[in-house]
Amino acid sequence: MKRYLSGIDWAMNSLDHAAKARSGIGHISQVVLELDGEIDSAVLRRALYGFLRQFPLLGGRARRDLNLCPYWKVPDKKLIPHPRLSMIRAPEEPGVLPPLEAQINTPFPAEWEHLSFTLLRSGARNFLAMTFDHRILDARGAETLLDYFQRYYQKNGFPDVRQAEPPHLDHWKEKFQAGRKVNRMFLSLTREASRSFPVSWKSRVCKLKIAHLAPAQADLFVENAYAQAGYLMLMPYALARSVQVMHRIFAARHIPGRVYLIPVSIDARLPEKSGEQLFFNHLSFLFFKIEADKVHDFALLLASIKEQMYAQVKNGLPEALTQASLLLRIVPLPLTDFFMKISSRKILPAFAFSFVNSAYSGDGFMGRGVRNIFHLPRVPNPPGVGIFLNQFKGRINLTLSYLEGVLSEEEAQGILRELQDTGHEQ
Amino acid sequence: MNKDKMTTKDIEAVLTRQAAAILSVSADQVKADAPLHTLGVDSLGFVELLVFIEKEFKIKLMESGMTRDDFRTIHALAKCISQVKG
Repeated sequence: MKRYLSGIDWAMNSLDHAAKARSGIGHISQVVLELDGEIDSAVLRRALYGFLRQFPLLGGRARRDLNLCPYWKVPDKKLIPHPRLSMIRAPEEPGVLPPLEAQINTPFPAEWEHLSFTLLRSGARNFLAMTFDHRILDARGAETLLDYFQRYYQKNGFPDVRQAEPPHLDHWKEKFQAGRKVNRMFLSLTREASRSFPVSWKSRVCKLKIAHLAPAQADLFVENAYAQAGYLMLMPYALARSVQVMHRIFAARHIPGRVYLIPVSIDARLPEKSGEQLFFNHLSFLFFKIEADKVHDFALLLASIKEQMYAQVKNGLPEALTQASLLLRIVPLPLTDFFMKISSRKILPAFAFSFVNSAYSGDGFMGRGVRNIFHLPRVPNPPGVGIFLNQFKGRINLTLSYLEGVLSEEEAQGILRELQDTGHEQ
Repeated sequence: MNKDKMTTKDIEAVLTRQAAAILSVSADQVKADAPLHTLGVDSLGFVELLVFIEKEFKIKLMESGMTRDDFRTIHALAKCISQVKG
């Protein structure tokens, strides 16, 4: 069986290919559930196998069809392997972060493996981590998969999951028009030299720092955002704060360039089909260009981010990007890395950023309460640094993901501390 | 429907349908008097709603004199759009 890949899926395959070529580790991420008690590993293993074997694409791999369209080769149902599940007991200090960090620095052992699970215990705290290949799941998809697993476990049923996708080899005029729109946007972004950290193509180890804003701190964060950026403007506020924090590092290192370019990933699921869009990537991007000499004025910075966001949504840029990316599927994976290296001589983002709401709808997982959910993605290289925020049950989690050598320990600690302080300031 | 002759209720129904589409839920799950953040609208969804209002009702929001409170609920938005359109 074939599942044709979208343009964004192909971009994720390109990132994965490039990451493997440089570090041996693909474009992987991790979603972590903090639970209020331990789970029986044998029960989890059995239930996971029963659930996941309904989705043979989890044992698939990318191929190219005779019509040149890339597709995901879905194996026969009986070939689905048992999911890997490991148990880790971590000391209370430094806690579960080192073993979680180790998970995203370990490649999947085989080309057809895309998921693994870890049960962690540290003192009285319990966690379930799912490490996933970004080619088959995005962040919301990963949470939804665990949500559907919980519904399956409770025998409640879950929505039909679409496993087929057409090749999208029609409406070429619309695709080329979208490509023109995207091209114009990229040209406008790249007029000035951008600031970025020196690219280290050989960096292998991804490091993580994480902070959790408890509900009271998160409320203050939201209050500050509404007061300074406007009602519901959490993402622009968090981005503006992140730009200011990162600017201090760039300025201290005297990194040249006039602007910061920041890609922000956004959810692009079709509203009428969001329940079905579990697997693969349903993302698009907004792109922000911030002039470095205007970063100090927070009100101006916020206004610029909001204006750019509004203009891009109004011009349908996220949709155009999704359409235009379908044209890129013709490029073979080894060539995408080559183009990436060429283009990185001229234009590089300063850091990656996202702010997502939780897609996990339940309160519990296998009879245990879910206290928190957070994400630990392996950041793409370039830019080699990413700030990722997510909200769950009134909490806000901040994750800083960076490649070893791109930031010093002191810089990374400083970034996290300053971002966390946003939840303390009045 | 003639958009110039729409009542506040009609506008509210249009906005409710659009908010439901943005949130990927059915329209009956969207309460017109609930603050938008309690419905799950985030910054991107809010901007999508604003762009929709500008296109659908031909209103320049920046020049309409709408205040922060006018954006809190679908009901408040509908009332305000109705007044702006006169």
